[in-house]
Amino acid sequence: MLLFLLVGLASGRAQEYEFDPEQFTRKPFSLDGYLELKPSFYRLNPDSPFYKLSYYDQEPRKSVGEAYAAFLGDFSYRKGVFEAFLEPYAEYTLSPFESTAGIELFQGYLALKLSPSLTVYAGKKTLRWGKGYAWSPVAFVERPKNPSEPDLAREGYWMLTADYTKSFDGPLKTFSFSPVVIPVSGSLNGDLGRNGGLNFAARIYVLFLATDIDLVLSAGKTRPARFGLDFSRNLRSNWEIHGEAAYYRDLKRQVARPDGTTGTEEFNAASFLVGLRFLSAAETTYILEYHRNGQGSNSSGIDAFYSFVDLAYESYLETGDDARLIEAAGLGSYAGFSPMKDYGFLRIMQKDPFGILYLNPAATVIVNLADGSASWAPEVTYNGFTNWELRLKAAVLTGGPGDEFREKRNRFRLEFRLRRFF
Amino acid sequence: MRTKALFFLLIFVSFFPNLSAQDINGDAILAKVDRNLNPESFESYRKLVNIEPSGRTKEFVLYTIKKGKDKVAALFLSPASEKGRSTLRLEDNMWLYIPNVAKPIRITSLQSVVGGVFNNADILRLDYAAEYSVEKTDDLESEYVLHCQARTAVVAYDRLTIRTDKKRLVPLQIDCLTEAGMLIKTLYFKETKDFGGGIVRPSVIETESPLYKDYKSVMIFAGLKARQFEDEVFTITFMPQLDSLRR
Repeated sequence: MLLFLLVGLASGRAQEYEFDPEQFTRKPFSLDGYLELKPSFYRLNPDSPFYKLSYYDQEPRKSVGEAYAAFLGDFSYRKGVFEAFLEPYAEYTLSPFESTAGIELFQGYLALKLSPSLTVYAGKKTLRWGKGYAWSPVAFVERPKNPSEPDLAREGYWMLTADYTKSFDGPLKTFSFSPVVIPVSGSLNGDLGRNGGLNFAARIYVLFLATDIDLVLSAGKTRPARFGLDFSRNLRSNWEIHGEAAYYRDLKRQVARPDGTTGTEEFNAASFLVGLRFLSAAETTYILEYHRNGQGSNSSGIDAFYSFVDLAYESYLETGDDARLIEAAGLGSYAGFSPMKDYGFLRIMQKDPFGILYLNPAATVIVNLADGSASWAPEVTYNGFTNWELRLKAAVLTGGPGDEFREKRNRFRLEFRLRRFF
Repeated sequence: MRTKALFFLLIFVSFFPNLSAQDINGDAILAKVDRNLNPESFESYRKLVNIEPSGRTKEFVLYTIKKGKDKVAALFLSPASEKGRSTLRLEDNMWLYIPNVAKPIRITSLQSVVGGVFNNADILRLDYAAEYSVEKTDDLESEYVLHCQARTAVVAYDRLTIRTDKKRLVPLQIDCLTEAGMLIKTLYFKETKDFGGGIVRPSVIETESPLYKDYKSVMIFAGLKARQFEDEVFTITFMPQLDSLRR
């Protein structure tokens, strides 16, 4: 009996450490992705300009509950040096205001992997340039990043691009060159310009003296020239520093004027970002960034926009004509994620607090340094169940009347996000 | 002439035990330990198991490649929530690539991309001799005990104490310590296995840490074999393509 138990224990132990890598043999076809459910509660701000722009034709509400469902899939097929990749994204929002559904192809390209040094891509692809966590001024060929959710997948652009890489011994370890051709025609990359034409961009990356450095530029028929550089470097085993600088020429934007009219503004702009990432002995990670947004509006510009919206809303209430509100909604430079000039960002993440594995509380603060308004967002994520991720997140927006975060659509948000990976 | 030779031989033999003790070259032993653990350039599969005090486990499977003294990369194959993530180490530089984020970000050796007791330095380990020099060697009956000091300030652990099997020159136990001598974690090397190609080494590393009381992490090796790679494979540009190396 004792012998039986010992043999049983021994075989159980052998089982514990059994690992057969054959089941992970590479297959030509793969399908991965996630399904997401996200119920949310919003405490709304009906007096704010952005609420009026969004819901002027709806019954005013002080709060609303919404539910959001999404699917992101990654399909790939590989044969020899070829790879085909598709990344569709589908979403559905259930809301008392308006329920919406949509499907987008985030990425869809063919890759020709000629060697470890050279790969050519043709199709719709996401390029992520820059070292900033919350913002990336040098991200010339990507859609805007939400500093509150910078890790979310985003839609790419149709392009022809390649990566050529060479490694060396000595202080220069890596050199990489990535040229990009982006056609614009009708609905093809339509948000890069109204008139058709070709745009070009390029990135040179080097790993030099243990520092990542990128030189980037972009120019073309529908987008004026812009160029920039970024860097990232570990100072110690728990310190990282990064930065970006970009210069944009001949920018044009529609602006609201203090007299209640709109006009076009042409200007050059310089933006930069500096940031630090620090890991403490208690395994708390701090990410701190300062962003100077050269394309942003100053306080008088944003005040003019708020006045424009108020007048347009009053006009709508009196006449029922929403043309001015639609015109205001078209002034996109005010509605972006970071429409003003000076921002600070701090994110604090604690790994496995109180010895609870896979529990990751975090807090993110985004501050408009000009007016002192801010977004405060505590969250807690748990991914201890294999292939499940649970996240509870709140966001409180603070500031005085007329300040950026005070004038957003909502003042408070509470959401629970459930993701199932497959 | 023969008398003279015999005289010198007697002198040599009489001093041999002393010379033997003094001539133990800890750095040479450490270099040999590295080569016995794996070829300088190789590929392997690893399963990481985090075991909680309740007995609940979470598993990760990684494909790992290494070249020379300073290049190592790992690709997560499982679970689905981590699949496609890759990590790269080039000397003391480390990056993490997450498919949805789609750009490599710098990480530090002390962070952990999997949670639990293993950190990035454990997952992207270079040769011990590349990161540590041996300050003192204890010559015990069946073991060498190598007291190692980090060569630079950017490695994860300031000091290592490596208990080494004297006969096979593979680690039995490694204590990872701070500069002040505080124990951060202990690695236990177990279940020696013949991987083929002359590689005979422990196939299991169990890890415990006083910082994670009652938790345990286990690393199980399989498919370890020598393989040569081009240098360009170990660049941040190639991180999204690591899977293409698997056969």
